[in-house]
Amino acid sequence: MLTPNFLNEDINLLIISYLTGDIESERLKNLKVWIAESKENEAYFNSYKDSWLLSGVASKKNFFDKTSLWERVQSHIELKQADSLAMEPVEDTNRFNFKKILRYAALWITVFASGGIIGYVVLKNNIDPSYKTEITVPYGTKTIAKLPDGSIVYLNAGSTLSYDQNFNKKKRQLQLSGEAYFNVATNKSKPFEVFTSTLIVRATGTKFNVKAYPNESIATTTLVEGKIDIRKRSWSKENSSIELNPKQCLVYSTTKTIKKKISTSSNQKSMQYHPDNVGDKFTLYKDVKTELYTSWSQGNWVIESETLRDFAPELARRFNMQIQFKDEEIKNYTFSGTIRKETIEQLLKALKLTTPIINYKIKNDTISLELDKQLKQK
Amino acid sequence: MSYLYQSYWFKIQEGDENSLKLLFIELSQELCSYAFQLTSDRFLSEEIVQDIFIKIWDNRERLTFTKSIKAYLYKSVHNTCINVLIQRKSRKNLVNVFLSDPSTDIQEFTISPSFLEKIEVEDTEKIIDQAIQNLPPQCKTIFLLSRFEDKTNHEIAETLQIAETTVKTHIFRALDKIREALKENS
Repeated sequence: MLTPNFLNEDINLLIISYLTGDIESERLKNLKVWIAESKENEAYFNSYKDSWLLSGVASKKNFFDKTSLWERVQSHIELKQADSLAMEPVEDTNRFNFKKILRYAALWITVFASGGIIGYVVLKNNIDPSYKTEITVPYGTKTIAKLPDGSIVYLNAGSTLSYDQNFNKKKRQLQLSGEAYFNVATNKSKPFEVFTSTLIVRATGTKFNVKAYPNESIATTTLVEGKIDIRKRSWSKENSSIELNPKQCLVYSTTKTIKKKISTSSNQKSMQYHPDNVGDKFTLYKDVKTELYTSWSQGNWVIESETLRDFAPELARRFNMQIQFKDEEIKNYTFSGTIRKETIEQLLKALKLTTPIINYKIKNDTISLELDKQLKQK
Repeated sequence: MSYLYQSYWFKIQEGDENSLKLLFIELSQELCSYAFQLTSDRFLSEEIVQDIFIKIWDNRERLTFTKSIKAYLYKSVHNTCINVLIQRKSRKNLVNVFLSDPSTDIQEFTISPSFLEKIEVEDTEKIIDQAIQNLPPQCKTIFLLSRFEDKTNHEIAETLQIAETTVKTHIFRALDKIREALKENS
């Protein structure tokens, strides 16, 4: 490299600023001057620009559905052929077809920072094709992964996702234990199916959240965009599956657990299904605030009127701690708020401020909550 | 691979529609993705690529020998994108790469020969994927948020609670690794 070292650092930052669209015009001028100085400089710059463009091309390739794209080209060819056979000119009306549904796909595997600590992902991906790919997320962290078809999945703490080498051949099937938010790459010819221990959630291209922790008696599926249908694994195909439309949430419960409050924007009556007479049921909620079910995967985790009973297990997973209730009553207190990067101590302090009657103690990795005896008596 | 494209090209000239389809199926996604890099418009990118193939078909009898079909197609996509964007006078579409400098002439943005060389490399996508996979965790996270999730440096810095210069440094390191990987395989 012909550039002196002190300039090297700055040039590299300049190049990145330029490529990420984050450069002031003065510095841009400096960069252009540097590039113009020599062929080596130009080649150096181009090598980074090329890599940037190429990784961009790779990242968005799966946005595009080649089969449906071909259809328009084919129609044109057929029309032209008809045209040459007919006596009158035929108008090429297929030329402009703007009514396409936005297709979405993004590709990546990464690890989220939670509370400032970068967690880790256990990713077993053997070369032996008979092995499965398994992604396990421990308590205390979250992960995002890219699937071979370009779909993204956000995985919450304490979750495992797995699929085998047949994924993306005729179907896209995977197993989930825990919670995941899916952003599925559109492919109408290959249905995307999520298997939990009891349910199958099927989509072709869409955004939805599935929450099915093995030690919890309810499973919740929330649809943000697109369309999905859900059926029990034990159902034969003849049974109709339950279809979800956007902003709907399906709760599957197996026992008579205390009903979890589902927030809906209007007082829409929920529909209930009792598919088998074994005490399990599906309850469909319309017009829900989907961000309450999906925001855990983004920077701001929004919580609205959740009882501590429901909220405590989620906190436990997020921070990898155990939560003990010294007084049963505490479980009924409800909370609303937005969690970003707070530590568990900060959250508990905030809790104490808003609800002074609840005392907390942290010892090792256990949080114990109890009612303040003095305040209780008042 | 290039000999395969040559044979398609030859057959298209002779009126073989299936060869056009095969060529399209092979390359349309990456061409659309490249158009998207320049235009940031999904529908427009698709239209541009489709139109190029339609034009190829319409003018098939006049197709001439080209040393690299892929390079030809990429150049067509590139030039069409630039022309459309000039017509639309909307510089906003050339995001991330060319937008920053209002004084720059759009016409200056020709596709670089080094880029055209790199697209000829077999399995570029796999090489890039592998390079990204091998990045250290923090670096990988940042690069993917930037390139694949299209987050701005500011957004990434906010989310991960780090400085923007740190973000840029990591992106640089990631690009460096990709660059090296591509070099090794050319």
